[in-house]
Amino acid sequence: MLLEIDNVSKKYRNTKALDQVSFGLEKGVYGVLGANGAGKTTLVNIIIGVIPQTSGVIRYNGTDIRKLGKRYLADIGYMPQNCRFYQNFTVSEFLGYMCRVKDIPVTEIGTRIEKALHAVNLQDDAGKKIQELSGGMRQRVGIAQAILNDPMVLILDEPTAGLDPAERIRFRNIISSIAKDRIVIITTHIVSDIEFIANQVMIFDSGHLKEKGTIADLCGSISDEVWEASMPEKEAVSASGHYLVSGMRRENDKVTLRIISSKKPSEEGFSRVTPHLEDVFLEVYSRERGL
Amino acid sequence: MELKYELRKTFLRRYVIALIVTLLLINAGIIIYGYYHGSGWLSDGITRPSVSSEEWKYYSALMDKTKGRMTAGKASYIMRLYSNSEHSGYKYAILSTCFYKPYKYMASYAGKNQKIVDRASEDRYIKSHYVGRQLDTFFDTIGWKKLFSYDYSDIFIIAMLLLTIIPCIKIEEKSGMRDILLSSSGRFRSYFLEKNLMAVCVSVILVATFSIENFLVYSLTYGLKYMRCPVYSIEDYKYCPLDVSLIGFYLITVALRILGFISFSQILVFLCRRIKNVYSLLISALAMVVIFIYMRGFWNCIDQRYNAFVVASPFSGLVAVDIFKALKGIYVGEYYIPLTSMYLIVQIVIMVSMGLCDSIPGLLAYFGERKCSQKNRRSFL
Repeated sequence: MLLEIDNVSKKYRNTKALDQVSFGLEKGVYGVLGANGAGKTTLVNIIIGVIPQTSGVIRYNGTDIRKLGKRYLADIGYMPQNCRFYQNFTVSEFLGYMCRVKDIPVTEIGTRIEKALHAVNLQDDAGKKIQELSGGMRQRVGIAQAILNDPMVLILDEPTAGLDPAERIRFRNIISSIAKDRIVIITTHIVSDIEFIANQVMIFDSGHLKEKGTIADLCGSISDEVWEASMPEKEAVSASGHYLVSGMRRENDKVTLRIISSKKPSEEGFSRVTPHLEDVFLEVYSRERGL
Repeated sequence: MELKYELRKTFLRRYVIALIVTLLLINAGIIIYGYYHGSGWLSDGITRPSVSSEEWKYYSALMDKTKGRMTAGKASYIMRLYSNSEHSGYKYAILSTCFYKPYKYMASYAGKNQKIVDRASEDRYIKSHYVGRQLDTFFDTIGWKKLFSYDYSDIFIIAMLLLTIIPCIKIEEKSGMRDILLSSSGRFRSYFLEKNLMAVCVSVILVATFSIENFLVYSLTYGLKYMRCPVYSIEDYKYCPLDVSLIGFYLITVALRILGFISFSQILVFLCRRIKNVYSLLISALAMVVIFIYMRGFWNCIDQRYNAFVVASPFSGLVAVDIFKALKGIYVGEYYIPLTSMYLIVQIVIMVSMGLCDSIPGLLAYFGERKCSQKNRRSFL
């Protein structure tokens, strides 16, 4: 199974939302990180066939997806960000409708709905109206509808937006459990969403793919550049003006400063620490802006 | 095809049903109000609430003696009463407006109509559509006249179409469902075809509901008897090219209304898919309504060049009752084409093209994929 994005660009009038993006995806969970406007949603919309690319090709198992048409879409599962679905539908009614939309045979609809509800732990809420569900439960309905057709490529666009930490963890566990033998693409600007479940991460900025690799590789690329020190507040404020700060934590009357710098800071007390994915993201983001 | 889901999305919702019920009640109220407070019975005819009990007694007695099959005896009776009357007072007014003039019209219709047919000489259309007409039943036509001219329910239907079709499409765009539908294998059917079919369904349901209600309320108030009598029993329709019964005429005008609203709804769906901003869409839709109403107003224009506006406006179907009062059309070579036939053809073209233009890429892809998969199946075998 291989999904290839080959030199894909997307231009809206004078703006390039995506600029010659190329990568290949095999089975596994892929996190797509980027700030707002980085091109994540545009990329997703092109992959799912909602908008055409300006140039470039997307191939699924070696064939252009435009030639595959329906056969490609039958292998896609998609959950958009902040989707509110149809508020007056019950959960099972909505999934029944989605089964029809995805051309699932009538004889299999019942089984597929049951399986999907079980996967997201909503079996007891099948009869509830969508408007009665909490935000987290609604997101789970989103995942359920995305997996109804047992897709080979599952795309989740900002799936944890608006969820509390407990729901985020529950969501991560669901993704991990359904990610076997599929390509799962999760776009987000919340690093912790993918830090624990993604096999590989792609970082986008201004329509370009800046970095791609495993979390270990990406963190390893800045292993010598992340520093931490604990200091009085005044010094911390002064230091933060000179360096790229990725974290500031107050502990009693001192402030622990976490910075990214290719050279060891001149101030005393800084020691090298293990980078996190957030540090990598910040480093890429600020590098592009010359910060 | 799962139209029930499309209808569930915006049409079959509690607040929409409640709104329709409210509009139906208002609609019935308007008809009933008009029955009790109608504008001067001399112009409209006579109803029980519009006259005193004495006047109504006189009218009812006369109607009982003269309604039904027309005979020489009844005609002479009316003539005698008319000649001997004092030509003033309520009795004369009732006799003249409700009996003498209409009876004279009905009794002389066959002869006058034949004269027109004879004068038409080589006109095949007039000869085929007007020959052999006659009237043999006298009755009170006020109920039918009022029913045919009633059009308040059209405003309610237009409002409901805007309130159901626009949200159905826009809510999907705003909620993210549009992208889910477009990324599914059944997208051609679910996002394009079923939306257009939903608009057709909603138009049919609304027009049928209000038309049935109008018929029932007018039946209960004014009375709609003798429905098998020809439409030209009403003097306004003496030149109507349709030789159909009153009920048949009503059904034809309802069918044309349905056609007009279906056409309008397809244009609305077309606009909804193209105009992103909801406020711009609403303004465009309302502007479209105003323009279509304006265009249909040319039905009565002598200058035939304005026929183009009439046939192009979906709302001309809503004034079919007026268009049918006369023989309106044009000659194409030696063939006469009535205005309503041209309207039919143009509206069908609009409906199909609006409905298909978004679906054509999907249709091509759909049939292309079917051909491809058939080819693959053959090569596999």
